[in-house]
Amino acid sequence: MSLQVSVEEKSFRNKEDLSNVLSDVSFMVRPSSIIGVFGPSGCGKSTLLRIIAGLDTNYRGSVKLNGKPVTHPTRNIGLTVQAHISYDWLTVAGNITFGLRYAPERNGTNWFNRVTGKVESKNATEEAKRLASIVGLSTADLKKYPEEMSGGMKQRMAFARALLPRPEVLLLDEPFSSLDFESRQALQDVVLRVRDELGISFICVSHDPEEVLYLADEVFVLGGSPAKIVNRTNPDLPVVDKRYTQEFQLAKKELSQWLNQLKQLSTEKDRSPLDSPLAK
Amino acid sequence: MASQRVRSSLLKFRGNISRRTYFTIFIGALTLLGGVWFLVSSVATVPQEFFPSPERVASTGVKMLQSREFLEDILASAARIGFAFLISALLAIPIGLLMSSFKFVEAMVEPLVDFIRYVPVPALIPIFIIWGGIGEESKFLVLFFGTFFQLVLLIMDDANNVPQLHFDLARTLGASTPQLIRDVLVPYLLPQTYDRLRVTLGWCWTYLIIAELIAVERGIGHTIKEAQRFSAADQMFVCFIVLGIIGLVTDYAAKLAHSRLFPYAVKSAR
Repeated sequence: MSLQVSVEEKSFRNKEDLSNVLSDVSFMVRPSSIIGVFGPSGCGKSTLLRIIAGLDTNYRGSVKLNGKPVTHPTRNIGLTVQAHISYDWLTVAGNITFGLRYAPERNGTNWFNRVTGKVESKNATEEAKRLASIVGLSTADLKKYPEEMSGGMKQRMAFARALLPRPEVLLLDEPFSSLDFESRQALQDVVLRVRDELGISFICVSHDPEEVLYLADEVFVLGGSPAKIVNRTNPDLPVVDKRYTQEFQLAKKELSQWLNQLKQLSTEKDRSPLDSPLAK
Repeated sequence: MASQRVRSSLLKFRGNISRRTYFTIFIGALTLLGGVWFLVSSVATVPQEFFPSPERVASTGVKMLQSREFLEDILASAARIGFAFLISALLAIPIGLLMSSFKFVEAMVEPLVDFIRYVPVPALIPIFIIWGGIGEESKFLVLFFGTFFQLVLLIMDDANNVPQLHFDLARTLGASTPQLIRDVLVPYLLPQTYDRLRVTLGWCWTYLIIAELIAVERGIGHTIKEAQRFSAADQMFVCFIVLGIIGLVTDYAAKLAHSRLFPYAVKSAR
């Protein structure tokens, strides 16, 4: 698997004005790796993920998965978002196996199932149980409706739903930011386990320095106007209990400084982020 | 202590009250209305032909309900509404969904719908009679025009309010455009659409009486018109009460079915 991202320019038209959001954002995602994209709120991180997911194709540049341009959403690039999006009319099991009805292997099923989107219930139940156990949901949870679940549980469900098609890359858009500390840590560990066990690569967008440092093999700091990669770090940190190491805390402090610096710069638009003393 | 608790829950902004309290208040309000009616009709010097007493309306009601004719009138009105409302809903729902899904459909349909929506339906009755004669066709057109153009816009507005992320996530799981409509848009909208149908069915009853003012031989509207000819206010009152009861019963039955059909929607609303 290889994912090559090269966004030369992305702009939005707002009435008469054309505002440039992203400029020269390029990077490569290697197999089984986690890329952290870090930056202040509203700097264009989510826009970048929408481009990579094929949901926004109105930009200059290219996104290539295994050498092929991504021109529309594909099951090979999954997405989970901060808002707890659930299909409320389905149970948790139904939500997790939502993507099963679009599986390419279903082309062989009878016409009625294809027209109605019905999936074999035995197959769906097994898939739901398997994915639920990966993300830490119980079998009893599968029968509930999303509205009966807590935010953390819903996020686990959304994560399991995104894992179902076994994407080659999974995009995480501030996935755990609305969760309490314990749920966040537990889900971060699930991400690492999924990476190790299933070999899926991740691009994790966050404004939480601790989160990106804990998860990512490589961290890009995105900022400025238009946003570009202003810093790349490769936090080569010890894996076991790395949150408590001195190196981790130092790296976290540095990222926090970047965040403060970028927030300050967004209010003083005339200064370029590349003038930052941290960039030198 | 308990009465104090009930009083404070009654005045609590958007607060809940028990089912028992709800029905006690409901029955109390109806009794009060009946009491006022009884008092006014017995104290006032208005002739019974203009403002009949509850006893007179009750005895006329019993006689009317025992006659086969009045039951046929009710059935005729219900059949008219059932047919026109079914056709209206069957056309409005897919058109509303398509208007929300594809801008070109919206551009084609919305100006026309908006234009016709603002023309009062009673003003169209003469043209309906020219087109459809004085038979069932013109009544159908009144009921259809009264509901279709409102319903189609309500469905489109509801569909426009479905969060885009629901579609985006389904697309990343491999959903095509028809599958987005089938698997996300339609199930998301089902509880709201059901509610819209419930409300517009009420409007349909309003238009029914207008429709039945055009020459008819059967129907509640026809009974009211005939009662007017003979200054039989008691018969009119019976018709009003029957219309109200039909509305109340269908509405409550629909509400009850809503919580059974869409348990998840009830949970979300809590």
